Amino acid sequence: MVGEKKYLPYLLLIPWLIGFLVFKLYPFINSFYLSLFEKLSPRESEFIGFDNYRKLFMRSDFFGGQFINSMKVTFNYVFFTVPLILIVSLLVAYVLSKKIKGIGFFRTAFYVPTVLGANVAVVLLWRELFESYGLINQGLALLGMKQINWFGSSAGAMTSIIALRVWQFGSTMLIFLAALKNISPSLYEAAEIDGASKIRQFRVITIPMLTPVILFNGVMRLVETFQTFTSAKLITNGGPLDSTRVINLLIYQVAFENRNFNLGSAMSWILFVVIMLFTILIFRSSKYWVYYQD
Amino acid sequence: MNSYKINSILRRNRAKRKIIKTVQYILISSVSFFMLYPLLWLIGASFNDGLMTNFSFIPVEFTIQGWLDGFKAPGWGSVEGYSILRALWNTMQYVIPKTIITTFSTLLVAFVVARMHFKGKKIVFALIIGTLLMPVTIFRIPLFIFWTSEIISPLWEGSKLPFMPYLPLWGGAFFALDSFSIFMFIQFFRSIPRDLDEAAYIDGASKFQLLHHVLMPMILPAVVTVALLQFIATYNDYQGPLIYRGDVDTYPLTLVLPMLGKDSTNTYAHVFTRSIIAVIIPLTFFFVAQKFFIGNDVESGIKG
Repeated sequence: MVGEKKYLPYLLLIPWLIGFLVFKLYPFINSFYLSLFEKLSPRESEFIGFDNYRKLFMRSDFFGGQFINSMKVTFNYVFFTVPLILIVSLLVAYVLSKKIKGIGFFRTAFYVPTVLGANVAVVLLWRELFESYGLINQGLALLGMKQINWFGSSAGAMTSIIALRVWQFGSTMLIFLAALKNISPSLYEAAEIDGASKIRQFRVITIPMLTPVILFNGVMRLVETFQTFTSAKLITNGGPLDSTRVINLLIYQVAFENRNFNLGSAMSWILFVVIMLFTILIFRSSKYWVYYQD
Repeated sequence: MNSYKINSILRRNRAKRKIIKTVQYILISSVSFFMLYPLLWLIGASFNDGLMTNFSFIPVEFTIQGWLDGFKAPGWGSVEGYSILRALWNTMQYVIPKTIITTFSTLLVAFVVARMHFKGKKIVFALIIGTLLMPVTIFRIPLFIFWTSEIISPLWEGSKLPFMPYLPLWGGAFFALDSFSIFMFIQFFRSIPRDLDEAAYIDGASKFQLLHHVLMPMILPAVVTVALLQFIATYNDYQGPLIYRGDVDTYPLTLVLPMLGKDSTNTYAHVFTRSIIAVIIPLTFFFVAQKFFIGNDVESGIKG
């Protein structure tokens, strides 16, 4: 590489650097700065330090207690959705990793909802499916079960938006599938000779070998589901009685419908800190449960 | 062990394997039913007159009215010529630039990080990984203030040029903002042996000739995958268009569809027909791209 221009890599990275500074670092700091002010009128705001944060956490009557409620709702959503996605996608990937006829069809069938699921058209369809006369209740009737007023109860409404997200387990499954393929067959052969059952093989070989990928998928899904928006906005619009008003929906309403950027920024920062705390916690715990080959 | 004993063990194993196979098939077949049936039902519902109050996907009262005027969009604006196709074109005005530009800008950054030597490379890589998990919610409000500021907003607000009214939705793509795409490309570059680079350099190739002629054909699966994921994510994005919406005639599909629910002019057949029209493009892209998909070697691995 004689005569290579030393500055070429830096030249090529200039757009990325601008992107990092203008579209990431600046808004990151700026949103924190904004959160330290109180909006008085469309043109005026006053520096109040950490008062926004204090009010959001301490005063249960502030903003109708919506913030604490939204955080609880979001936790509920995340703690059901993420494990469900991981379990379903892992089991399906495991079955697909075996020699199975029609794997091409199944893999496509499992991925199609991931392509479409976040599409507004399908989100709106989902709402119809869970209506009192909808497909889900028709199915329950066929099975001789009681019909459910899904959008009439908080648990029912929450179930409908969790189901929509779990339905899109395709990309998580593909990552598991690729990882399963990388497990050396000799491990299973050795276990077979030792007389280990399939279930035992799954428990002592498959799961430990997959733990790095479980960690990766878990963290990615956690960060994503904490910020869920479209389904809560279009299927339930936060209802009934705010039981599905996830934090990102609340932030949207505060910041963009009520034009209160200051309070919206404070909420965004709390969400950010919560996501980071969970991510750090998971990474810290990984040394107890993640198995690295080398 | 005598041959009788071996035979009986083999037979028992074969029977056991058959049971496991059957259980596996029942499991994944029922899962695929849950995955696909809502979509099948959607097709049936687009041909059904009135409410679809049946578990079966076969229409109760058959009609093609939904498909006959499904492209019209009564209830969205009042100007003649408002149609689903117009909303679709509005969507494409940010999906196309965002997809193409992001794919190339992130590819370039990944190439520099994976294949060039320079001081500070570790820092750049750390920043890419560090921003991978950054929740985008935290950037949204300041970026909105940025795009709607007095200096920037004349560029796009109320613009009559194609693509431009949607600038806030795709303008950032030039700056390789999507860390996940960069990360995927870097991983893919790393899987290609560096011997290829050396050979190309010995033959007198420049950095760009190396990327264009040697590496590009090999990373095509990654290029298609990143482009597909970008396309789908942008096409499905709801909050972005919601925040930066302009005049009613610039509304993309994601804003038009929720406006066109069942009402006096729109029957359920119309609503569901439009849903199908809305998903055809991403679905087609997916089926075409699937042939190049990164995950596809999974299949060859199993067959081999």
